[in-house]
Amino acid sequence: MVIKVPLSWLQAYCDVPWPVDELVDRLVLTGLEVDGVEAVGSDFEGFVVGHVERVDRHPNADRLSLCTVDVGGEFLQVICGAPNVAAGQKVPVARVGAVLSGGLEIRKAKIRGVESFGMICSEAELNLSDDHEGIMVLEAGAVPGQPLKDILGGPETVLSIDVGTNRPDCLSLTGVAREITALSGGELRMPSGGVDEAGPPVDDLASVRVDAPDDCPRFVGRVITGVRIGPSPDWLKRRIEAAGIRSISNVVDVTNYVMLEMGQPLHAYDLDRLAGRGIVVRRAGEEEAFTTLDGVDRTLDGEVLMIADHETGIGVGGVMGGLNTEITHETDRVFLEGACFDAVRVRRGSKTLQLQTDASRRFERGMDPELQGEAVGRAAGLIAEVAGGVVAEGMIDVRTPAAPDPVIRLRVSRVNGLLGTDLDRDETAALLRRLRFDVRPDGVDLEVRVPSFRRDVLREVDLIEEVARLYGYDKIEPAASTPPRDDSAEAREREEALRGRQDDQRRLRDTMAGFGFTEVVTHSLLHPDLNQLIDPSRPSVMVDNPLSPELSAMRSSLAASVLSVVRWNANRKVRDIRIFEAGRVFWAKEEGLPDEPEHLCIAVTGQRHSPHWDGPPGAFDFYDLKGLAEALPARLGLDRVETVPYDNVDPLFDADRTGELLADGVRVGRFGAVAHRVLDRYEIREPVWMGVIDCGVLFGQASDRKAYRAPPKYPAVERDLAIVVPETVTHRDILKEIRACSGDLLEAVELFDVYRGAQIAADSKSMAYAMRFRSGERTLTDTEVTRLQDKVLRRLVSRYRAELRS
Amino acid sequence: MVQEAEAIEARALEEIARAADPSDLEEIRIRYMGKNGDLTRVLRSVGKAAPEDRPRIGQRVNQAKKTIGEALEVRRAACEAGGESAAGALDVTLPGRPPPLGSKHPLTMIREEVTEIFRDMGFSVVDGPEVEWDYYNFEALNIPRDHPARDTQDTFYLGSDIVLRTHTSPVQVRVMEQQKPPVRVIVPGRTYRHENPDATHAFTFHQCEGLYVDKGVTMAQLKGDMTYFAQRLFGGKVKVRFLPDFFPFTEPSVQYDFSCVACGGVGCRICKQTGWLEISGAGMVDPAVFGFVDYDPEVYTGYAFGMGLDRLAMFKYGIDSIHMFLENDLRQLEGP
Ligand SMILES: [Zn+2]
Repeated sequence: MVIKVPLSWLQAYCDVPWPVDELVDRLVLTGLEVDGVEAVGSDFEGFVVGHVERVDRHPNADRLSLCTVDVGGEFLQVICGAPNVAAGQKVPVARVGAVLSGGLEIRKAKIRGVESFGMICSEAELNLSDDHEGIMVLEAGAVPGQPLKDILGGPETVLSIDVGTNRPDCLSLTGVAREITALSGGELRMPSGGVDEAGPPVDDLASVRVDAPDDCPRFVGRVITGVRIGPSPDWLKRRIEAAGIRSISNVVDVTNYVMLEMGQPLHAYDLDRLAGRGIVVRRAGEEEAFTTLDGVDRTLDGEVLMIADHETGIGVGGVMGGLNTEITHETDRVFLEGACFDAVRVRRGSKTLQLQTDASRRFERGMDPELQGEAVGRAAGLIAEVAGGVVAEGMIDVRTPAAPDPVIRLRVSRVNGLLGTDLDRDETAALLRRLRFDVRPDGVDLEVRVPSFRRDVLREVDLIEEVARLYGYDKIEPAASTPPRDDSAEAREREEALRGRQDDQRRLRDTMAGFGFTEVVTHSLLHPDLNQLIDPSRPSVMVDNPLSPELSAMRSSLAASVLSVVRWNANRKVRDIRIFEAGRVFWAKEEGLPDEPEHLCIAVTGQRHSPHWDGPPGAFDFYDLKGLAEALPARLGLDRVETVPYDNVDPLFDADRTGELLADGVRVGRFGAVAHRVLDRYEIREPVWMGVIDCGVLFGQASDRKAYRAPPKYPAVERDLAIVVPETVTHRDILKEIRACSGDLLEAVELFDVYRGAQIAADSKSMAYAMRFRSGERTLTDTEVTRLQDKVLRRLVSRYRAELRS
Repeated sequence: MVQEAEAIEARALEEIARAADPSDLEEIRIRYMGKNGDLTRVLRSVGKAAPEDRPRIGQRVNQAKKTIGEALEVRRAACEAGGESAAGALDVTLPGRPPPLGSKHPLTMIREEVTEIFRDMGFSVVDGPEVEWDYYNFEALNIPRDHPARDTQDTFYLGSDIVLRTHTSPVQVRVMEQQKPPVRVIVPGRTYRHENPDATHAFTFHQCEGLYVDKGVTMAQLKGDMTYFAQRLFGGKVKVRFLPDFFPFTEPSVQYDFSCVACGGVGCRICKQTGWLEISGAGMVDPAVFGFVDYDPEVYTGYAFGMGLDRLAMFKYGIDSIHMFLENDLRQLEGP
């Protein structure tokens, strides 16, 4: 939560012995994150208080007024365009020569034929706020001719401090001041909660009953009678506005002022609008209707803490008051509430109402249970000062018995053991005392009493953090740790497995990049329709609160987002695309977390390689893809990599152009031409070739322990075999027969030509194979090899009606 | 006859190498291998040799024929390609045929660099699910349901108990559940925040978490190890600074910064004139977290740290927008 700290106001509670830059550095180093430093206001050279004597219509312009302004015995004619200007107002006047915050210098000017000798200013023109709706109206007591600086003060520096959820004690000016005195060693000037009580006893005027003591451990109330509701004096207005809160009326402004000052949210009710003049703190009923101060009708439930009178709800505890009891201009008697609400209860209320306020944010982070009496007294005194009235005698204080301040034993050895420092007991104690902990030596250790405003400190380790940040993290000397060595066989096996997996992932990417592919990384979230398009049988893993429907499902394949990348780039005239992505996909399970298998997706479109002066490269085709798809597992050490026709339907691929990749007989993935219906959905016009591989299976089969073979001892015999077979016979069919007939003596077989055309029957093709035979034990004879070759041919003839090509 | 065949082969190869165009080559072919060519003549005369010499001579002559034939083919291809002038000189300045240059994604490169350094420091690299139980993502990290810290980690929910992990820290807990100290691991991985993307925000991030638990682990070691890491990644002059911060799962907690790698710490646009780059959070593992995994905080202490791989990649590779990572503009990815 960000709070704004005007420096001049802060200095009411502590001295700041450093220039602003240094103050900021010191705060940051001890844990207050300063987000920004802003200059507000100015010296107001040439600006004075003016009294508007009379307002006449400009003779030539309906929207402009001709004002006569007394600037201290001198009467200026000033033309003003603001609708809210009126006779009798005290206003800020920029005289000729003054410079507005935007840099504009005021000159004597003729506007629509009438002369103007200055300008009546808005808050924005004075650099006080963004408000340029109308002119600023000063308090009635301002004296015409008085320099504006006397009323508004000089230029102000405002720090924006982002206070972490763990430091509710710094959500106020006095809290920040306390932190500064811990750094400077200076004095902290806390405002007093003492107040002159001149009215009747408070118990005669109002009552409080707390029915939910767990939700509200303390409730303090005071009554001020005879107040006059009106605008706040300028000093009050200026301070809270510099701190970012709009001025509303004197009483409401005081409650905000004290909240900013001390951190305690307060609420003022019109006592005469409270039924039974009494307050009841209870849970809201189910579906209880209530209208908050912001005018919104809300429906509450039993999770919400309600502040009620004897008839109905008047506020949501710790979040916002109700419209029904708000302070109005008729208010005469004010009931002032200062409570300590339970953090979780306020958070539930705030969540239910979907409403966060300055009050709720403070309560959610934990409230000092000793603050309420002081804050309510302080505010009552200020109300009497700025709105008149008298404070009733005494205060209502309903509370569960306060828990004693926690006492924590702090072992100095533990401080040094955790931080790696070398602090002694007394240094440690001194640091904590500066933070206003009550510290007593106890042998070599310390006994620390935690003050009520530091209820975030509960344990020894919390105190160690306090010591560390005040000592200064920059003073901790870096020391290298020595990696531990776990010599158990279990630890070694675990490490081996982890490293193997890392290495596989790395080799996969290195190999793909080596094959000339660019790696892409896409989001895991997409529109569920895209999952459906590619994998219709699989239900999507859905997000309950997506940012948009396009990002509402976890991807069940990589293909969808990789195709998006193809389209995105194709739209930017990148035509030859060779990309891959390796990442997780998400598959729903009956219950529990989804499976997250790791996949590899390869996509290619366009030409085989970039254009060259040597001639056209030719379009990428199925066999380019197949060569790649098979080379990858082979490169990762898989044996017997082959492609078989895929018999089922994979909607991603064109049914006629899909291959299934096997390694050692295990299915590793599929590849082929992306189906037209899929490409149409992406408005991709060029053919796209894609491969999808399950990395888990691939890595499971992979082995980096490739054994080298000794070079052959005996010569090889090479034979060619050219046959004509019907089109229906596949290369794989022929290979199978060649291998089956030749047994171990066949060292290699390679297809070197496929021919269709003249001299070959229309529904046939010629296939030519080079075979290499070798024995590991002897030199093969010609006759032996010829016999094998004949056997192969006979088999092909009988199985596939093959003919020897002459 | 063998010598003759070898001499013819050598002469032919020399002529082939000097041939300027396909018609020269055709002349050469006829001269050597035509009906009355030199080599053909030798081949015909093999029959006149002694029977026991014939196979040997025949083989050599056939080999010469094959060699010359191949040389003619290669030369013809080269001539037709036009790479050589009439004088036979190669224009070495003509563009070559480049193999397609593949590349790894910057997020992969940074992850590999970071894991490499931590592996050298004796860290194991572990992994966990991206779709995670609320328990591991929040509760076991000392962030109960009503903790205000949940507001700062806007979360995607998949039902009431399952989230898209908002950090890689849940893997810490999973590892400690499985393994007794010493534990020394890093966890690189993808994380999610429920944030509408703008110039500086994305809803997908890549983080690397680190955890070291053993007897006697100190904050001074955290600082020393982060300094070693920073200097390995960005060079030996980089300094590390710790600022107090708050995380529910570490105590004390710090934000750690590296001195600006672009300007060396004097102040520039990248470090917004501060001289420091905010990297991420770190701290000493909170005893409450040890409570969830049955480690005795009186015996063991530990440090934990996070880092944004996206941010490190930006600093390391001079990338100025986080949206570059998942936009996949190939004109950019294919290489700087
Ligand atoms: Zn810099």
